[in-house]
Amino acid sequence: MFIIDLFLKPVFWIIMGMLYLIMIYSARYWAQDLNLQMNWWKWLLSAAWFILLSLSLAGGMTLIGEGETQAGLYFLGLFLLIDIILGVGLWRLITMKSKKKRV
Amino acid sequence: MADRSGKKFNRRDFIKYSGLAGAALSLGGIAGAGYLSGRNKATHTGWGRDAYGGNQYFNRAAFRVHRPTYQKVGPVRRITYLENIFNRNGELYRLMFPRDGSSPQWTLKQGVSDLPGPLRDYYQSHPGSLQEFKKAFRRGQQQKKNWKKYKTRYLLASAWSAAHESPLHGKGAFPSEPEGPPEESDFKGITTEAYSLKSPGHGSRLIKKIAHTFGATLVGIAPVREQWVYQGYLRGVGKTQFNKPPHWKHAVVVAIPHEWDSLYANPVYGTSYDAYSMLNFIAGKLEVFLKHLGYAARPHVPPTDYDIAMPPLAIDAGLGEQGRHGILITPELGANTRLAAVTTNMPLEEDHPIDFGVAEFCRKCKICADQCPSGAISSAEKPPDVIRGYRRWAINQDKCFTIWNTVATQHPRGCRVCLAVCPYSRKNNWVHRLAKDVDAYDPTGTFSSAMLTMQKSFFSYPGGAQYLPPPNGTNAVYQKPPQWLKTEEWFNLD
Ligand code: SF4
Ligand code: SF4
Repeated sequence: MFIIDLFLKPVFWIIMGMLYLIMIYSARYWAQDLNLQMNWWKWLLSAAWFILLSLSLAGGMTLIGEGETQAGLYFLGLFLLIDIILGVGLWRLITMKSKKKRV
Repeated sequence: MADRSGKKFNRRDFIKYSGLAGAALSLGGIAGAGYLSGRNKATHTGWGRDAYGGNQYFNRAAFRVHRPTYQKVGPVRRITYLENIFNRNGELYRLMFPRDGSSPQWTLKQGVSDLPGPLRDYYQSHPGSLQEFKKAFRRGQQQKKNWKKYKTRYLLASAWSAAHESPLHGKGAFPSEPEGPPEESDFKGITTEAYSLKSPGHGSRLIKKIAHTFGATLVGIAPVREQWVYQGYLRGVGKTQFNKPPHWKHAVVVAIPHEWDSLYANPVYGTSYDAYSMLNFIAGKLEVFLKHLGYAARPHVPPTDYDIAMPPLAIDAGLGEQGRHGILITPELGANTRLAAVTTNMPLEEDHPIDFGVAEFCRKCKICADQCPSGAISSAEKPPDVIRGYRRWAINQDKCFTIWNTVATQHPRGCRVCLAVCPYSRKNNWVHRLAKDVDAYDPTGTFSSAMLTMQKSFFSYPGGAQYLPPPNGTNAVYQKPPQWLKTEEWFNLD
């Protein structure tokens, strides 16, 4: 539709961009307050994890949107489980090193 | 404002919690964007409605091969008239129901030996084929009886199909049937000397642009090889033995998909005629266009007005590869690809065939073979048959036609379940496009194996006989029909 194409789509992605900016900006405060010893590869892994989480949600919802509800739910189930496992692993990796440094 | 530790809620906390909220909102936003992308009708394969070739997006140059992917293993010969199921069924029908109203020259009670010469030879060399025809004929009679039961339920699908079929036959059909030998009919309507092109490359680029503006999703240029030209019947002439006319130098091959929602609701809600009628218009207009520039042209269009076999021609034109179900698979449209061609003597630059891994994918996949209600598609690891010198996938046409005569449609309108279930036919939204593109560039096949595992375990399929009417099946469709094809949504059915 004209209104959606011309106005809402760009506005949506501008808002999304702003949300990502706020998120990135706040991340270092979180890291400092949680005493996380972040370095470039930890930031990279964290960003990759968040992208994977976003793609998992988007992928599952795309399948649901195209009418493949069952496939979409399975997709979400599988990839969110993978995301959770990876997330826990990543958190342990980040905090383990931080703890070692603090000792 | 105070935080958990009783401290004032400062700027730092504000940024922190805004960031957290931003993360949550962005996840919600991306999920919503995904959902809308799934619903977006512009991602229905080939229906991006780009009139200038934007839907032919695949980078074919990266997958060019010098030798086409069909395997030549023996002496090659042309396909004869009776090897086409529609031609031999037509011959049998004419014997059973002579047009002049005279008594039948052959009936279902008779056998192979009672058939006239060429038909007898064909069926003698294809044991079981005539039996299958008899079965299909009887199923067709049952289909007609069943239609009373199903007429209301599938009224809209039937009307929609009939509307698409209407321009294909009779006096007003476009393009009109060739009259006379190709040396006359292909030049009929040319009123000018052929304009001299700057180069064959200019010719190809121009004709592709024009074909896209006429509605073609995909266009490719192929040489016309003698081995793909039918033998024994030539349109405009009749039954005859002939050589390829010298002015059939190149073929402009065009492809379009079926309408998406009806394709997914096969077999009973779908039709082949939507794509067929569009292809007739595109090829017919290309004929007129070429003749206006002074070049000979002959359209080859579905359902049966061909002098050349289309799939190998499309492979030569670099549009795609043949799948296990015998149908052309293209990177953009998957198996939802319907073909027509225009042969011409315009100097054109030919395209190269491509190999984007269909053979290996089909070896592992077999979804179409599992889903086919007739068992016409082989489940073998490799193509078991050598057909006219080529080892390639080929379906059992007779068994397939029996199913056309069985499903709950008004007449044998086809089945197309194999087109719909093929993983290559999925929508062109980012998920499937990413999967298809990554697979094409993965030489190890690991990605395709992972995709196939997901495909088979995540997606549900009704399964073989379920597509048939009771008592053998449940009139199942691959996916739910769209609202606009459901009679009960629009009419009072009490
Ligand atoms: S059209 Fe139907 S019956 Fe024929 S091969 Fe495809 S799935 Fe099988
Ligand atoms: S369904 Fe699978 S096996 Fe059949 S043609 Fe498509 S990719 Fe090949």
